[in-house]
Amino acid sequence: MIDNGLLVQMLLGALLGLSVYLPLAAGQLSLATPAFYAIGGTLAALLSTRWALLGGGADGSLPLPSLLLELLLAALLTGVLAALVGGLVLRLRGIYLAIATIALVEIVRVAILNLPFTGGAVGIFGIPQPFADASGYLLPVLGLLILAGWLCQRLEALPLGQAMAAVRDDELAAECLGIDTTQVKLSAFVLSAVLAGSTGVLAAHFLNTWNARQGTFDVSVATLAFVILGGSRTWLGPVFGGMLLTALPELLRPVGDARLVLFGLVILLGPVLAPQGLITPALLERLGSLGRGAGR
Amino acid sequence: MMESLLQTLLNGAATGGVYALVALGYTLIFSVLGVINFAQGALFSLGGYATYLLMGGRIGVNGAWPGLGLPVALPFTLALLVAALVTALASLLVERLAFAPLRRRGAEPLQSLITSLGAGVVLVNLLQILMGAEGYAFPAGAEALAGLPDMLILAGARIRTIQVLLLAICAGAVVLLSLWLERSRSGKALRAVAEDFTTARLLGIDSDAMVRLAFALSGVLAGLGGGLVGLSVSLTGPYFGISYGLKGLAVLVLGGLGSVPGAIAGGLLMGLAEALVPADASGWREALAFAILFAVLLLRPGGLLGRIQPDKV
Amino acid sequence: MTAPKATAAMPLLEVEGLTCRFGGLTALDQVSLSVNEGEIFGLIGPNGAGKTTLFNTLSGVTPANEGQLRLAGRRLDGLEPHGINRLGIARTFQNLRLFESLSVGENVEVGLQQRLRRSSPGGGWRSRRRQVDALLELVELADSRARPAGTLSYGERRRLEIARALATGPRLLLLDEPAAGMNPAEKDDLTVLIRLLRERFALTILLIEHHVPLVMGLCDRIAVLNFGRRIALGAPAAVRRDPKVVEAYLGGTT
Repeated sequence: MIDNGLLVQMLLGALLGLSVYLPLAAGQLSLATPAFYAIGGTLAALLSTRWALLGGGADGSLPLPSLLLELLLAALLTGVLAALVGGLVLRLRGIYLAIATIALVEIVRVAILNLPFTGGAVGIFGIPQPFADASGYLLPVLGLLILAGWLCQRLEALPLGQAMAAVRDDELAAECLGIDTTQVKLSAFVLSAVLAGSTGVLAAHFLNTWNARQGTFDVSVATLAFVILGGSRTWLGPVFGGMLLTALPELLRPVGDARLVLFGLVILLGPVLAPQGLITPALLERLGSLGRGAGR
Repeated sequence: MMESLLQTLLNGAATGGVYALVALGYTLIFSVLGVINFAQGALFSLGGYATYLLMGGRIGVNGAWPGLGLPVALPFTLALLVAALVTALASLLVERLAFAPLRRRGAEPLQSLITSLGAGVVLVNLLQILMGAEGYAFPAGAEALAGLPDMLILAGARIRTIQVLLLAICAGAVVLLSLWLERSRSGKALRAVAEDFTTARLLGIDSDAMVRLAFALSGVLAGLGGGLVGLSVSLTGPYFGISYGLKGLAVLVLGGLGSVPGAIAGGLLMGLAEALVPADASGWREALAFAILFAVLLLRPGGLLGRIQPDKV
Repeated sequence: MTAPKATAAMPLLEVEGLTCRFGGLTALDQVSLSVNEGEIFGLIGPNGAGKTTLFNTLSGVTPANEGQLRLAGRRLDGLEPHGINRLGIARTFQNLRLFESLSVGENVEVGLQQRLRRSSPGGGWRSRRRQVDALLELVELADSRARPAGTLSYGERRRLEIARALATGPRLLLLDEPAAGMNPAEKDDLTVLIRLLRERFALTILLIEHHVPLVMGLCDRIAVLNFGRRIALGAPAAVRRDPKVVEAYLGGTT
C-alpha cells in the first residue's frame, strides 16, 4: 500500500506544507515556496553533478557529509535571497504580496529553464544518491521534518511566535504595541524559504532528476491546498495535509489523474466549509484533554 | 529594417490588446469587490475552447475519444459571441461558489483570492480532462476571416490579418465597455458600487446585482480574449489561459489596481515590451512580464496609475 | 532608543499646526495643543471632527501633511508606529483591535514582550506571568486570563485593550472612546481606573470621549475639535460655557 518511496514523498509534502504555513502564521499569503524549493533542488543537482570535491561517485553514490554540506549551502543561499527579496516585497499589503510571490516563482522557473548550466527543459539528471534505496531517505527527511516541527512548536512560546500571531490577527494593533511587523514578517518569510530550499535538496537527490517543472505555479497551488485542508492555525495542520494530499492521488488511481482537480476543490471549498482546516487548535485541545483524562 | 520594426510593434500591440482585455476583466471585479478573481485565466481558456468547439472543431480527449465535437459549425464572429456568453455564465457560477459565501460571512478579501484560485484550478483541469492536452488549430483560418486575405500590407509591413482583427476587437470591446460605464444607467450604478458599496446600497442600488453584472462582463471579456487568441495562435492546452491570467495580473499591477485606463495602458505596454525582446532571448520573454511587475511593485506599489487603498482605523 | 526626558518647563506632548488631508477632505486643520506631564487631557467634538485622525497621526498610523509633533521635545515625524510606541506612546482603538485568536493573558503578554525586550531581557516566564496578572488585576480581568479574547463582553474588551496598551510601558496613553458601550456603573469604574493609572504609573493621558459628564469630571483640561479645527481649549468649566462649543454641539449635549 504505502511503500517507502511514497512515504518519503509524503514527508516531503509535509515539509513543503510547513514552508507555506510559516508566513501564513504571520498573516502573510506567500506563494513563494516553490521558488525556493526549486533553487535548493537546483543547487543540489548542480553541486553533486559538477563539483568533484563532493565526491559524487561514478557509480552514482554520494557521501553523506556532502549531502549535509549541500543542505547547509542551500539554506544559506535561500535564506539570503529571501532576506533580500522579502525586505523589498513584505512592505506590500496582502494581495500585492501574493502577486509578487507568484511573479517570483515564474521568474525563477524561467531562469532555471533558460540558464545555460541548468539543463534547459530536460534539466539535470543522474543526480548522485547518498542512499541506495528509498528507505535510506526516510532518516534525513524525517529528521528535517522533526527539526522543523520542533522549531514551530518552540516558536509559539518565544516572543517571535507571539508577535507572529499578533501580526496575523491585527497588524496595525501589533505595530502600535511596538512590534516591528516588517521584521516579524521577514523572519517568517526567511524561515519558510530556508525550509523550502532544504526540502529541495533532499527532493533532488530522491527524485534523481531535477528541472524547471519542479517549481511551478501548480506547486504553489498544491502546497497551499496542504495548508488549507490540513489546518492553517497549527503547524500540525500542514504536516497532516501535506501527507494526506500527497498520498491520496497515489492510492486512489482515478483520483490520481484528477489530482489537481482535487487540490482545486480543496482550495475552493476549504475556506467556506472549514475555515481553519481539519486540524484546529480546538481539536488538539480536545485530543489533549482526552489523553490527560485517559492518563488518570 | 523599418518594416520589421513596424511588424514587431503591431504584433506587440495585438498581444497587448489581449492583455488589456484580461486586465480589464480583473479590474471590473476588483473595483466592485476589492478582490482579485483568480479564476479569470481559466475562463480565458474556456473561451478559447468554447469558440473552437462552436466553430465545429473536434477534440480528441487525449486520444480516448477522437472526433468528439458539437453538432454545429458557426462562423467565427458568431462562435466568439456565443462563447463569450458561455464564459459569462461560467463567471457567474464562479461568483456563486467562490465569492458569495465568503462575502455573506464578511470574510477577508484574501480568502476569496484563495477560493477563486481553487475555482480556476478546477476549471482548467476539468478542461484538461475533457479536451486532452493536444493542441488544436482552429478550423480553416481563411474561412474564419470571412474572405479577408491572410496577410495585409500596411506601410510596407506585412502583418497577419488576424492580428489587426484582434487589435480591432479588443479596442472595440474596451471602447464599448468604457462608454457603457460612463453613459448607461447600469454602468453608472456599477461605478457607484465600486466607489462605495454601502452608500450605493443606501441609494437603492442593488449592489449584489451589480457584483453579478461585473462578473458577467468580465466573463465576456475573458471569453472574447480566449477565442481571439485561440484563432490567432491556436490552442496549446488549457493552461494557456493560466499563463495569460498570470500576465494579466502583472498588467493589472502595472497599470494600477482598479484603474481602467491603467489596465489598457499597462496591457499595451506589456505587449510591446514582450514583442521587443530579441529572438535569441525569446526563452526569457515569459519572465519579462513578471520582472516588470516586480520592478513596479517595488518602486511604486500603487502601480503607474492606480491608488493604494489606505488602511481604515 | 532611550525615551527623551520632559522637564518642568517643557510639556510632554506638543502638537503644532497639525494638518492632515485625505484627497479633497481636510481632516485636521492647523491644530495646535500641548499636554503637560501628568495631565488627564480630554479631546471632544462632534463626529467627524478629526479626533481619531489626531490619534492616528500621534501614533504614526497616518502621516501628517503639515505641522510638528513632539514628545518631550523629540520630533515624531516620519517614525513608524512601532518606533513611536517604543518612545513611549501607547493607544487604544475606537473600534477595538484585540488579538481575537489569543487569550486575554496572551494579548497583554504581547505588549509586555516588546517592552521586556528593551529593558530587561531574560526575565523568565514566571516573571512575565506575574506582570501580566498584575495588569489584569488592575482592570479586573485576572480571572479571565486563559479565556479567548473573543469571548469577553464589550466592556471587558475595552478594559483589556487598556491593559494591553499599558503593558508596553508608555508615558503617554491615548484612549479612544474607552467608555463607549459601557453602562453607568462601568463608566464610574473607568473613571476611577483612569485616575488610578495616572497615579500608579505616572502616566499622562489623552482621552477622546463622547460622554460629556465623564470628560468634565475627569479631565484637567479639554480641547474641542470641530471640522478639523480646534475651537476651544481650557478647563472643563470654561469650555462648557464657550458659545462656540455649544453651537458646535447644536445646543445639545449627550
